[in-house]
Amino acid sequence: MRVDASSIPSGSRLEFDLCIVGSGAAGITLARRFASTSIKVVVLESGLDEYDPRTQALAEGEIVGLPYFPLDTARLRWLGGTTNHWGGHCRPMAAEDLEARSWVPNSGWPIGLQDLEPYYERARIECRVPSKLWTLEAWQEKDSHKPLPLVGQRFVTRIAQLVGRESRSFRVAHRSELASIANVAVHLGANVTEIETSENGTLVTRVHVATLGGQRYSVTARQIVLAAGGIENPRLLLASNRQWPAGLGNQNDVVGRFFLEHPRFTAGYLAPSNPHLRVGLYDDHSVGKAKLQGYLSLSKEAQRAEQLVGVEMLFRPTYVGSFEQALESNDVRELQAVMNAVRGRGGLGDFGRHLANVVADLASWQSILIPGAPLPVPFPEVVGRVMRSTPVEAQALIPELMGDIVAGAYAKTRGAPIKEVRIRTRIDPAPNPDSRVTLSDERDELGMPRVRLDWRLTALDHHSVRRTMEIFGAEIGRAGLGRVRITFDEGGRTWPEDLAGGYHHIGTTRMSDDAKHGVVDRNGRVHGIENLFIAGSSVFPTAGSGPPTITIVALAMRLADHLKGRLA
Amino acid sequence: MNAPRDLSRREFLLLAAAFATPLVPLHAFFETFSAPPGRPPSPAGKLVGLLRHPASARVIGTAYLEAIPAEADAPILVDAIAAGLEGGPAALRADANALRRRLLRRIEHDFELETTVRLQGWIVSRTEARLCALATLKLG
Repeated sequence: MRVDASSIPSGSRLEFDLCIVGSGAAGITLARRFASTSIKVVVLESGLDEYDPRTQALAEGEIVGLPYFPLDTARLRWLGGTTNHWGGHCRPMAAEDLEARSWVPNSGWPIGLQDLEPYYERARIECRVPSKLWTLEAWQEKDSHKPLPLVGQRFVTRIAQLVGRESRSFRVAHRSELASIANVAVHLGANVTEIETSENGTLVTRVHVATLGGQRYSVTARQIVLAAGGIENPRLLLASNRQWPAGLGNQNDVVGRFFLEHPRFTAGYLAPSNPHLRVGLYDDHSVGKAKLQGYLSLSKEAQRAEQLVGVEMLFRPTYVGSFEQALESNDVRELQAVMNAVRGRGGLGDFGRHLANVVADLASWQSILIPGAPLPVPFPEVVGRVMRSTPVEAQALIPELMGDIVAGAYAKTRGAPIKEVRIRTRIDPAPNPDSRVTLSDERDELGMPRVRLDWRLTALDHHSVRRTMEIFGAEIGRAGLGRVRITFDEGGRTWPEDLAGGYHHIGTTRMSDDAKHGVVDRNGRVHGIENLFIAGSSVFPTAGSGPPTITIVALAMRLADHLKGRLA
Repeated sequence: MNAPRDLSRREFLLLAAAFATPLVPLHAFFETFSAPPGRPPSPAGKLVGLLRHPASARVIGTAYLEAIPAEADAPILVDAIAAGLEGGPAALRADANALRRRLLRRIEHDFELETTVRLQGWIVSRTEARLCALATLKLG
């Protein structure tokens, strides 16, 4: 059931069994687990059914640490939350991602893989990941792309799956269903401004809600779950300081600390010995209906031996001359747009699809089409010239004779000659208490303090990237595959200019069995408060080697099971 | 290790060409250069004679000598290279093909043991860097 919060009279006090703040991957997953039960659920979503600039401006904040995305672009405040710009990469955590590592301060989860595994398969379905297969071994027979033929055993290849673009938004996937569930009310435009507790601060008694239209009402519930993301969750706790001056759950000054991202940047280049080196496994590629992305990283054993945090590498080849031009050509872009339109992908709408048809009609690649053929097919004389050529000559002729589309497809699928390979790295950084979200002196339109983000990385993170690249350079040389250049620390900079995050906001309400070191316990309950829980990646103690979404969903399912017990 | 700086595109291509090409002897050029007619080439001449892109070798060799100036001496470099070869200094008496094979094994071994040096960001085997340094000194 969908409710426009602005239709609720000011001063109302609504009662539910379960109140969920936020409707992103965690909030929607949680709510759906209670569908058609006797539990009365309310989901309080700040935004509406689509982007609204006034609501989005509530997410603005200050950046004082490492450069970061403007905060109002890093969090999306409308139904579906940040899944509305999700990149779609999924990979479950590995056992080692959750283990404490003596050389990484503050590492280790209070739960193990055995606690998540029962939920990962259902989370895969929830996230609409096409295949059950997660390992390189499982894909090797099906995937024509192979791992780098390194000689040593220090590197391993991990596989992530990509969810199709059309399936990524939880808003698109679940909007209709949510509207039809009688026992789940989704309040749109409902901004939570305070979580009020009992006098002794151990029980949440009310959740205060405000709309941009000026209404103010409150919700009471037996159990409350914050699922508003890794920046908004600590903001709400810190701003709810009526009984606890330092904020809820913050008796040990942990709320907002340990902000983690998956920092990524170009760390170097590989000059291949053989221009036909194949690195397609480490780029987005399709295998049947699945879309995969390989990552190369040091094995668990090598990380331990070297005392490093995890650094994953993926490769972006630059092809020689005309092949690279082909990949960047307007023809290829136009074809891509047309194909997306034909497949109903993207946000073109009907008008856009018609426009794409017109663009396609005028594209220069039409001149090489055989009328009526379903795909760009070269004229017979072109095929003849290629057939009469040696393989090397034929490859050189492809861009010239067949046009950019065929050349681009050839480069992607068969592996055109590579000029160089850019090495992109992604870090699973060390938890750092000085990397944090705090409240600023500024206030938003509703009077809520804005946040200040001080994102920091550690010397161990930096050393780990450099050392991983050195080892990679040595392994590449040893295998005779080429030579590696490390660029990320050139020019005396600590971090490269292209340092960015992945819109992953992690760790700010971290999980620990010890209240001194965490905000929530192993079940996601805020230490010291009987009925307040947190869902989402803000409870991750470490970022892990993989993207967070599937684990966010698995943890939300686990929390739902826990709450069903409490609400029974 | 020298102060890092960006490689120019030309330097990058030279470097890539050097690594993309096996160590193939160019006797006609180098052996003539390094040994008077009728006399066998010196150990340094034999080693340098294995390189066929002198301009590329000079780029790498110059960077190495800037990073490790203590090795800016041909006998020191020859000894250091020879000491790492299978068979030791005697390996320098082998013919060019055998010497090249031993150097390639040594370079592979350097990478395995991470006996490497970082030159302008590139991870280079110590042996190949020394070989280039030797070429730089010999060729001027």
